[in-house]
This record gives sequence, structure tokens and C-alpha cells, in this order.
Amino acid sequence: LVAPATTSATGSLDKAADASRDHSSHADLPHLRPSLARLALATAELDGNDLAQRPELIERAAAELVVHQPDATPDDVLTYALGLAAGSNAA
Amino acid sequence: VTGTLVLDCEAVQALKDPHHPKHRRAADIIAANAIRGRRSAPTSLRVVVPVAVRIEAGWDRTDAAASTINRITQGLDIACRDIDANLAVQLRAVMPQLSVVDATIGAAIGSAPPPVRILTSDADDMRRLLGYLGVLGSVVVL
Repeated sequence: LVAPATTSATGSLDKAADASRDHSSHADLPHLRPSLARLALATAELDGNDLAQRPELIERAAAELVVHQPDATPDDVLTYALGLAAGSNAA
Repeated sequence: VTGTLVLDCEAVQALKDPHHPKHRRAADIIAANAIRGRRSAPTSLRVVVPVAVRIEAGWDRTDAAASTINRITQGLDIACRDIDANLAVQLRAVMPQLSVVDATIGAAIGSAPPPVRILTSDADDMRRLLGYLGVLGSVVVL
């Protein structure tokens, strides 16, 4: 059912990844470049992760994590945010 | 690739136009998914677009104005085969409020590798589709 448009699926995903890495879709609109926090929030939404309902926690997690791990991924942020959430729930 | 991300008409329109009010939101979702595609063991979703959606949203891949969406989504077209058309008709019979285009989205959902995520501004109808089809998936509201 899924018909390749112009390239293989693997090739397509690789190119999409490259586009994301470069944020080249926003080359002319730099203020629209996604921050790590926004990417983490979007990742949570894609996963149906409850953290998607807590954008402020994701913002905090991204801000804190990037200080120690400049190359942190959105998934790293969510993992850290989960820990923050557990800590705040336990307190 | 571990599942499918289906784009609806407004998602396509938002991605096409950098000045669309929901462009940033839609692009964030696509970018977040793409990042997972560059892992050594990719877990990104395959981005797909039913052809009726592409037509309705005016996404001509050969149009220079479509260069942005071509570049950032690399979405794959889903053709509507006879079996899908039958399912689309059946969906409209049980959900008369469904547009023809949304019914083709339903047909695409019905045969897409799960889990299915639908990037849409029409969350209610899409949730109904998922429920009716019994497909493992969820809606990402645009």
C-alpha cells in the first residue's frame, strides 16, 4: 500500500533526519528553529507520553540537561524530565 | 521504522507554508520524528500522506513552492487501491460526517503499520476512525 514517492523509505528518513539536523527548513526563519525543549515536547506527544502535559517540566529539564550534556537529544530530555517528575511526586 | 505518522490536510498545509500559523508546531513534530530516524537503530515513524490529502492540500511535489515540505517531510504517498476505496466507502456509511478525504485517511490508517499517529486538527473524527478500525494509535493535535 505504501508506494515510494521518489526514494526508498530508508533514504527518505535519512534525508528527513539531515533536514532536521540542519534545521534548514527554517533557514530563512531562524526564530522558528525548534529548541531542544520543543523537540522533546513534540517527541512526548508522538509517544503519547504523559510528560506532554507538562511542558514547563520539559523546559526545565532541557535547560538543566544541556548545561551538562550539550549534545542531549529530545529523548535524553524526556528521560531526565521523568526523573524530575518522580522526584517532585515523591516530595 | 516502527510505525506510521499520517498527515491530514491541515498538517500538509501547515508544513507547506512557513508563514502558516501552525507551521512551527507541525515542523516540530516532523523534526522530532526525524531525529529518531538517525539513530543506529532508528525508531522513527514512517511519514505517509494519502494521495487525496495531497490533492486537497495542493501539494504538488514538482512545484518549487513545495520545496520546503518536500525537504522536511519526505513523506511517502499512499495510493488508494480498490480495497482501500471499499473501506473508505464503508467508513463514510457508518460515519456520514466524514469527508471523502478523511475517509481515505481512514483507509490508510486501516492498513498502515502500527502504531499509527495522526497529525491532525480534526482530533475528534480521527479518534473515531482509530476506534472504529481498532487500530493501535493516537492523535497528535496540530
